Amino acid sequence: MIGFPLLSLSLRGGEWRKVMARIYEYQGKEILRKVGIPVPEGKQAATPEEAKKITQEIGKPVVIKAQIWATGRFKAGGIKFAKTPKEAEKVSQELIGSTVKGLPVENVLVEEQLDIEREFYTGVIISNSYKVKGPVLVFSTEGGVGVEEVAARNPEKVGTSNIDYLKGVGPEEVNQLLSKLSFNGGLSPKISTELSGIICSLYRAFKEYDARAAEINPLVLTKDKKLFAADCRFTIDDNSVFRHPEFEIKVPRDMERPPTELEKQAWKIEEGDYRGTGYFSQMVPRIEGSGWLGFHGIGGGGAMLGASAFVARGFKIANYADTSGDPPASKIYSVIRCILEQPVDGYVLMGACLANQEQWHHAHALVKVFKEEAKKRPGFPVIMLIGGNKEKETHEIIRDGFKNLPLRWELYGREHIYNTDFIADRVEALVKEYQKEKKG
Amino acid sequence: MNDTLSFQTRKMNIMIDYHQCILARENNASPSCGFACVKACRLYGRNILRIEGNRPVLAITDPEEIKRLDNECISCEYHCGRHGPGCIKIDISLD
Repeated sequence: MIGFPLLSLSLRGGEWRKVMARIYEYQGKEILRKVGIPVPEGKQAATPEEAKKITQEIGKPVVIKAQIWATGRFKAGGIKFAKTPKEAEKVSQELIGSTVKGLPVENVLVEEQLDIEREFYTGVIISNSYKVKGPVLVFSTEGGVGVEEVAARNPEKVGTSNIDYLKGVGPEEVNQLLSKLSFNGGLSPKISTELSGIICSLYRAFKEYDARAAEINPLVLTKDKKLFAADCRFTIDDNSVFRHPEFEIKVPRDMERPPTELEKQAWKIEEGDYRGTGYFSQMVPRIEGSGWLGFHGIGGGGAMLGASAFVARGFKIANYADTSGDPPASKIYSVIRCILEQPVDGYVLMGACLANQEQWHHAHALVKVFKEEAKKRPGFPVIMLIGGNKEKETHEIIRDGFKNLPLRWELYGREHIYNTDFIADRVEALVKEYQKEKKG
Repeated sequence: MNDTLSFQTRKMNIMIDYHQCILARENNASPSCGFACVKACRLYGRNILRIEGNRPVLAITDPEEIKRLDNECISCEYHCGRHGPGCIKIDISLD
């Protein structure tokens, strides 16, 4: 499934990624079924034997699709075909337990193959563009793999329409949108009416399930003139996840893979506690080798500059953590604990902004964690850049608290906010010393 | 009199050991720690602690009200350790 380019552009800046929790294709198809949109006959399978049984029940050639949170599955080998139940079992055996696009495949969706005549794309997506700030309906007369290029190549094939949320989407709005588009060979009135019904139902699903994005690609017209949602992608608004326990979303954040155990644990820090942010996510599900840094930011943008400088020096960022919005020291403490759960060669606090939150809560949290940790990891590098409100007092608490701790620690303030390379140099120096000491 | 004050906040369990507490032990109006825990609670926290009978006690007794009010600044533990005997222990639950 492929996100639509026009809207992706308007959602740039990563804003949309922060607020969406994904669900799998088979869950999305269940939604479509419930609102009356035809989907191919099929079921989800966790074992090759189940895939074989489902293929027997379908009684036709099937398509077997890896259930992962990634686009471009077909090109990555995550979608395969089988003509018989035995072949379906073999193909599923290859897929289940494998990794596609670096993501582990735990389930497959086994579905009847469709005899495709035409492919369309349709979607309802929240646009964060300041001009829109609401749902946008999109339709393309050309769908399937490579839909991103359609808008650039044939803009007349793509139509968008901003939706009045109070009014919703009815046949009138859909027909208005479709009438602007060029359909090769036209559409019969029957297909046109069915198409309109599907788009209206998709909008209903979008609204009922609190989606940020609901897309069908391809929306297939078969040779016997039937319409099917062959693939779909739904992302649910993070803030609405609690209203949909049926999706069993453990960590309501937009991720391309299921959360790790540590991420699930970290989510408990944040869940139901609205006192500031205590964000934690791992860059990779498994850390191997050395040179990993535990990364803790305050204020995302500046912290990212720091992360780039560390990566440029050959370090690998184990996680991204953020404690902004004046969280309590208890929350900051728990986030730092999660960072140190990883096998990292150093801890960096990149408070690369003059934050107006009272920074002394960070100071108390840092002192508590590292007093507990220091003896377990002598010589461990701790580099702290922290500036902003109550900076002087914050530095005093840290200096006093870290005094005599057997750590390699350095503390910097506002004078180094713009000097990311200097911080990166210090990280490099301290981590190299530590690594050498560990080896020796 | 009870030798330990123990109370819960949203994510923490705080224990003050009166056996070690200078205030409680010295029973002195100007203890050497300078009432560090209560001062920290005033500056960084929400006035959860106060002095009564020359020892730190809870200024608020309703457990639910403590959970609502306390900002979990953990400063009492640090400042007691810094200026006093370190008789405050805070356990923070990760759940």
